[in-house]
Amino acid sequence: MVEDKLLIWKFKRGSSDALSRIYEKYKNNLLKIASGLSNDTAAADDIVHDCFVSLAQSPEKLKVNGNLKSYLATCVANRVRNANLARQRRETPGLNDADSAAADSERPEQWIIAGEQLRQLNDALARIPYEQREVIILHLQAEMKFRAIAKSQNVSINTVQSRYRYGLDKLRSILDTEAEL
Amino acid sequence: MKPPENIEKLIKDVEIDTNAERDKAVLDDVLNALEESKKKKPAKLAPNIWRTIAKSRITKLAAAAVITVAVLIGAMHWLPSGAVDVEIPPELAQMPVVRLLDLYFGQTKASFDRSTVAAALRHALPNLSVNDIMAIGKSQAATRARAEVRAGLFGGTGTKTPASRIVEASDVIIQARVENVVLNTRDLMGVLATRYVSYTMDCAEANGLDIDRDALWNKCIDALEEEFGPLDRLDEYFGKRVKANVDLEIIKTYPSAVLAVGDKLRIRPVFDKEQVALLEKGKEYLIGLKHHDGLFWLLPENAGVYPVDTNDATVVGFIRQDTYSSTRNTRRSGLRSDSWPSVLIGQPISLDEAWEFVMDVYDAVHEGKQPSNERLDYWLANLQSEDFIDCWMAVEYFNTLARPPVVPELIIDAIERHLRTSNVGEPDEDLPAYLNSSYQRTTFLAEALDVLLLVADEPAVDRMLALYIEALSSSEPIFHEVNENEDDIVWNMFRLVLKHPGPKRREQFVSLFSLFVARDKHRIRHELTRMLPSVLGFAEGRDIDELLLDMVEDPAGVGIFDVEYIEDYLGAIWATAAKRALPELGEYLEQVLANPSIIDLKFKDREPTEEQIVELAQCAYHIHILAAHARGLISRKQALQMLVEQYRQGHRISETDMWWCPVIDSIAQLIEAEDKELILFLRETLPNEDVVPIIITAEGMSDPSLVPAIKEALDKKVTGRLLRALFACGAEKEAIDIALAEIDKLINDDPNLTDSVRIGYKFGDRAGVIRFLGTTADETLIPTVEYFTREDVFQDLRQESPRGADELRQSAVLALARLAGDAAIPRLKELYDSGDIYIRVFAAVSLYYLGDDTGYELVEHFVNHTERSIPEVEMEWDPWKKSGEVFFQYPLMYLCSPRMRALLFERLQDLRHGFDTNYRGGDYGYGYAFLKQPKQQVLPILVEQLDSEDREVRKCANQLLEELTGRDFGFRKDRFAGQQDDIIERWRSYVDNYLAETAQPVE
Repeated sequence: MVEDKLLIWKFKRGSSDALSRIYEKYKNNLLKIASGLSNDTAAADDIVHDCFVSLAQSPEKLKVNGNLKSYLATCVANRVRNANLARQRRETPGLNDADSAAADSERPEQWIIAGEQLRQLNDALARIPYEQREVIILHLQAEMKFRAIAKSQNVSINTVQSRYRYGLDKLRSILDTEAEL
Repeated sequence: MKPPENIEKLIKDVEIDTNAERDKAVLDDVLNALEESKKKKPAKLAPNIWRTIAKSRITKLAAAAVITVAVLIGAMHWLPSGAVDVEIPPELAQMPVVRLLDLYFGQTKASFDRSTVAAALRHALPNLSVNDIMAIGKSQAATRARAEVRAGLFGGTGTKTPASRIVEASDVIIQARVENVVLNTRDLMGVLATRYVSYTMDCAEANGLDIDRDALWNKCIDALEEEFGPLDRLDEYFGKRVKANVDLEIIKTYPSAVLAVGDKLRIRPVFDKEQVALLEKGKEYLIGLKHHDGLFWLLPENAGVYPVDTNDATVVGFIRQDTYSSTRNTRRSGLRSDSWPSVLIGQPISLDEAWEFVMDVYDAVHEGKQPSNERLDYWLANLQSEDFIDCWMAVEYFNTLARPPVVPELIIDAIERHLRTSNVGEPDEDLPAYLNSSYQRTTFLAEALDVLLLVADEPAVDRMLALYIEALSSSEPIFHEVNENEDDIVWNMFRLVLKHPGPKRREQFVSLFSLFVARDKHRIRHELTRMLPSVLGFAEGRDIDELLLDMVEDPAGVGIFDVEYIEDYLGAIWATAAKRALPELGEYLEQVLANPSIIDLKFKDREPTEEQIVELAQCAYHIHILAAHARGLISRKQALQMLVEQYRQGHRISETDMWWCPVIDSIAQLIEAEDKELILFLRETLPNEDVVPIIITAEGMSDPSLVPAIKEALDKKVTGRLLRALFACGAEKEAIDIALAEIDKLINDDPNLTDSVRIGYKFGDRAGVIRFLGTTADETLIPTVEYFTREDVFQDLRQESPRGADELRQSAVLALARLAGDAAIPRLKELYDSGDIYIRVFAAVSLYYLGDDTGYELVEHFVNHTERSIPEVEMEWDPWKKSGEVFFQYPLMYLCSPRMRALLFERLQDLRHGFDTNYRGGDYGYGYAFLKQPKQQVLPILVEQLDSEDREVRKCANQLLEELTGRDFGFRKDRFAGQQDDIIERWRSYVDNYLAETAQPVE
């Protein structure tokens, strides 16, 4: 992704064109990741918004030689995790994370226009454990390598690969069950 | 039940839409946040680049190869301002340049003073074209250069690179108009001086006069030094290249987000003397640019510059500019090689077509994109085109994709369609027609086979093989062409038949092999006999193992007869089998070594001699031992023991066409400090093997019993590595005394040495002696070492050998840091402020070693950047030889400390600069020793770089992996990124297993 490296370089020197291009290039992908991780389009909207604003506020955090797509996806994942923790602190423990998240709070000016396929997929994803969901989404949607995911989650690569395999198995059985219904 | 890959695809490809108004609102928020943050931190966010650069020491060295954005233009100017103050008499203003040079260099007495002549010359410089420069002197190179310039195809060196690789190597491709070119006056004068010397020598020869070339050259340099200050008198470097400032206006760019249309850019390339007209004022070009840390430059060797003809909107030589090599074709033409001009060729194509190609290849190579249906249709249509160039471009495009979505039949159709040409010129009659027909078509065929290799199924292999065999036996001129493409074609054909496991491939391989060895072409038989067996190394499977063993023991039995170069055949086939560590081969070789007469190949013409057999069998056996160790079939100790035995049996060097590796180097690679039983062996080999002193020092094999042997070696020649070994073995005082005596000779020696060997000894080896002094920790030696850091000490020595004198002084800088520690810091800081770039580099490294970051900028630069942004360094490094960065590696190794090791590791994480592991690099040669100890750290770093976007990085990573592990998984350096994921995965799992096996148990 040489273009990304050049965009980072220009952005770090204050180019708003570069930032606009980064935004255009990755917003949809990040929204998809955020909505998949949180299964809440409104929350995903806020998370991606905050992610870009935070990026704009501190360009120095971005490494010129880093992978921009992975960096942004990791930012989103971290924010989703933080939001989940905050919500868990607010809400009664014991409620299924997925069930609570599935009650999407719709806003008239909402950013994401989720199609039926995305909605179904996110619902299914919400029914597998968060750790597995995160690995699947970061690997498939953010195209992060298992090694990079392991590094960002501070776990071994074997753990990441197991989470991916178990997650996919579970997801398959959920989707198959739904297809049979 | 849905298979998991469908779910993976579903998750990957699920679409998302967004509300456009909200899109804009969020973007506004984001941009506002950026503006706010700029207000808070203006200096950090939007630095004045020029100010930053001007402050940096690196740029004070006049960073070349740098493009900065428009605001920088005009900030620097190469021409000395004094030139405008002198009035130039009309007589001088109209004088030809050669006459002016006569006056300037003092060959002719002038009625003008020197400053007036210099002003006239400087006045003439900006108007000189490459023709004018090359016209001075009449060498063959000059004639060739003139022809190339006339043809409007001047592309400089490196123009053979295919356009797809240029796009791969570029971070951005621009179409730009050259607004201004300013060449560095001093460098240009250097080039003129070399041309002038050549011209004068030619004139003298023609008139029967005897002129001392060196005296003339020194006279020219004297004249230049009056104006420009001290210069390097060695014309090996000076007078070969020119720094330039080139201002460009961007007309088009891809990717578009990087640079904007209308942007003004300045590049500062270093041109080879024959490239000074590579970019001409007022003309347009398509240019590939490299970007690094905020700076842009031309690609290495200034490749990737394509002239645009604005009249008919075409690009010249885009698809492939070729320098037709004269020497390789003498046999076919029957012409003497020097009667062949070197001509750049390349059919112009439309600018639009070139851009389509650039954008699609860029997306494929840099973004890993598969083509959309629309783009696929476009390239498939081109592939099926009757137009040769259209078809060739499509082949080049498909060659860049990880998984070309094209059926093999279409590629074979294209090959069939374009292999036959009705327009074959004869090389000695119509060179351009010839080049544009049969020669280019062989290049096309080699590339088309590359794509076919990626997609071919078994029927496609059968069809291609049939087509090729038929073609070989036909009288089509194209199939009888012998040029550098043929190796690739033949190689690819063999790989194609080996691609699919199954009973057919053995038969096909053998029939193709027999066909080739039977062809009545001297060169083909020789080259292919050497080359072909090794292609089997890439194929896996027991059937290939068996074929190899049959080809070893009974070639006639598998249908291979009449191999003319029997020793080449044996060397290649044994080496290939040995690399697979086949136990049967090991046994066979042992039998052969015990009794060479068992060889009976049943070839008609002749059998190899016993001497040849023994030599080749020893080579193969050596390779077999290393491979068996790498595959875990024998232990390290066993392998060492077998290698030592081999060495003792008189076999010191393994050399076949496939493999060159001295046995002693293999021993050095395997030996560890615990192998004390080999001390005796080291003592025996020390007199004959340069690498032994390094083993003693770097691998912890020092022992007092080695002292007599080392001293004996020192009696013959004093070197730094021997002194270090002697010191390590306990004879510390003796080592120092010998070193000091040697240093004394350096000062008091006969200064009139002229013999190059003696000069090499005097300077090169004694530089090693100074470096040895640095390792002794004897503080009484500090004044001696410091003495050699002084510039004035070297004034006389520089007359003899500027390079040698420089090496002595540089070594003294490093030795001082190691010997004096913190006390050296003030002196090193003085040295860091000197004008000599190399002394500055060495002082910077030394300061960093001592924990002082004064020179960090320069250290960091060499670790993370390339020498190209330091023009003084780039001016001197030969692009074909070792890069400056590899040279930089050695001081880091000499100044060993945890801090320097960390730096070396950092360097290893980015292999753009290469990494030299050679044991034989003078007394610096510890590269392998550095990588050997922390293999657990090193191997994962290397594996991660196998899928780098940078071809050079991939190549270097694979080479180091093979060196360190002895394994070869068939990684091909010529493939594009993403095409070898399976091989990378094999490397990954090998390294994972290695790490698991060698992991220390946790207590």
